[in-house]
Amino acid sequence: MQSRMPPQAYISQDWFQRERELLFKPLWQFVGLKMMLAQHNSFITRNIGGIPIVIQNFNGELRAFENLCAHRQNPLQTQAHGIRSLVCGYHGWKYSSDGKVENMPFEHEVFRYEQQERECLGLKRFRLETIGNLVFINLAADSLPLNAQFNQALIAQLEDVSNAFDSEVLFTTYKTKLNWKLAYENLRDGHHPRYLHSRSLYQNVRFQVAMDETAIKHAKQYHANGTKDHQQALDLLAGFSNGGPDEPIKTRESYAWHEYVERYSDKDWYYNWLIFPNLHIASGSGGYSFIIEHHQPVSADRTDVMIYYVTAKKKRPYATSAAVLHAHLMGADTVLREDFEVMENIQAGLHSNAAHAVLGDYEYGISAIQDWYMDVMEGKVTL
Amino acid sequence: MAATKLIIGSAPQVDLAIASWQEIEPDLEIIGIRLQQDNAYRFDLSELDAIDAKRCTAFVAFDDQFLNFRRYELMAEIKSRGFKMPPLICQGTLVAKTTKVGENSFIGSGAIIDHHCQIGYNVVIGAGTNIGSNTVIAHSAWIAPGVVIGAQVKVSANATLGHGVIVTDHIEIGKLSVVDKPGKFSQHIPAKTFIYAAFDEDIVIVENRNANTHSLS
Repeated sequence: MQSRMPPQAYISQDWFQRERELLFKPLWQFVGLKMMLAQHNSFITRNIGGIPIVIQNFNGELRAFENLCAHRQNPLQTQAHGIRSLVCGYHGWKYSSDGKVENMPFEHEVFRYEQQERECLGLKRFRLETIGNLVFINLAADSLPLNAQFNQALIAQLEDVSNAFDSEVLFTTYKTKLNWKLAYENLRDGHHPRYLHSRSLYQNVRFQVAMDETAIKHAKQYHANGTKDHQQALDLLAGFSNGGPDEPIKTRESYAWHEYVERYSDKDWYYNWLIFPNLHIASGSGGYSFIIEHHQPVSADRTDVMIYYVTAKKKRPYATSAAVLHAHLMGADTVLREDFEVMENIQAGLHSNAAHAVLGDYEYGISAIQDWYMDVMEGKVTL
Repeated sequence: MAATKLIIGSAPQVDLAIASWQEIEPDLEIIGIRLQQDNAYRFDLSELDAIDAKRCTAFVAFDDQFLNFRRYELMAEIKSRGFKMPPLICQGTLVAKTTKVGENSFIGSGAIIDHHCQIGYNVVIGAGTNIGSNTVIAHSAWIAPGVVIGAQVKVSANATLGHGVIVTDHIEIGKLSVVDKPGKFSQHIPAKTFIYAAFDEDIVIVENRNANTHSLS
């Protein structure tokens, strides 16, 4: 069936801006891992929906603020992560956990704000929630509850799996030339690994497409009718995020470091969690280690793919733990670049008169998301 | 009886070490043991079981795999069997007399190492490398051929410097870091930081141990 997605959805900057307002702003968005925010004053910075964000630990409490000083809009934290008070380096303003200016050097000598003006000085704050070690924020004032975006079973699974993550985290960012939607479509396409990853991932995990006839029927019905019903749209949204054991691993090697971590599961399966809109968690080692892949939209044709690697929790520190994480990334790098190359080729070829995709039955998951997405973008439903 | 040297490791490094030992000690009897690794990267060392450690010395020649831990593990295993493991300082190097070189380290042809440097054990310094005075290269580091390292630099344990890297004076390269991107590095590189030309951003490892946070909306 022909996709409803026009090429503009992937290439138009105007479309991208509208998408930020209609889709991303109401949704809870992953921003990082709680393990990187474990100490007082530890922080991470991100750019979410064009807004610079700082997530900061204040004596164990995580808060999300716009990362701009209330004085002259200088970024408060300038590194991607670290441990530092929430202080502006420009004029020394220090902020407290409620976002108010706690200390303003030379306040009475040089600033001399009126009391009312002084009381209004503060940082824009955003809602923040965690599921286990996964940190989400919401940019909208009247946001959806988190459990409307994700169903309870998934929340329980994500809590369980992310609580198994170790505190030592490898992190990097790939700056890709592709629209973020190509990434979620690629991840929901179980047919491509046998071709694209025939010499890498597919050697060890024989991904099969799931021809779920009921789901195919529902996707076709939805494709024909769409929805204008808010509750139905929310129910569909909750169904877009799911996961668990995906396929058996052909051969799982036993490495020395396996003895040093508390394995998440005793199954030799490839675990996969797809969390709409732009988060992917997987374990290709049957629960010994995890990749957390976050597709952060930058523009219509740019996506920062932020990669985190962790092992399952260490039983005790061991000398080679950094080498284990490094080796994981070097292994995953091949597969990631295979995916990026195809997606960047698709992106480069798209133009305003390009044909719509024609999806097969096995792509019912992609079809359902695309139809729902178009209902949101065409204003038939609001989140 | 001529002295015997066991050279143990992976094929390319063993071949280089054999050629280098032959150049500096032509009468040395050399036995090269080229190890295979299984899928879990374990070595089969059974070939060594019949060899008397008192009758020969050994040298481990292995690459930078697993942030240099494989070479370290192999050296530790050989050492535990009682073998002496003198360093291999190739022909044509210029190593100052005040510089100390640890066991099982390799210094390639044409390398110049200035005075009062400390080269730890199990270090590999590639051919043509230039190292300034009072620099410390900690154990199990890997320096690719042609790298230029200034004076009073510290290259920490298990660090790797790749081709085309220049490290300026007084800089510290953190433990377990990899700098494999040609260019001049004039700032300290934190431990467990991996810098590759093929990556858009540095790869970092972060660890905060005090994980007692809770969220507030």
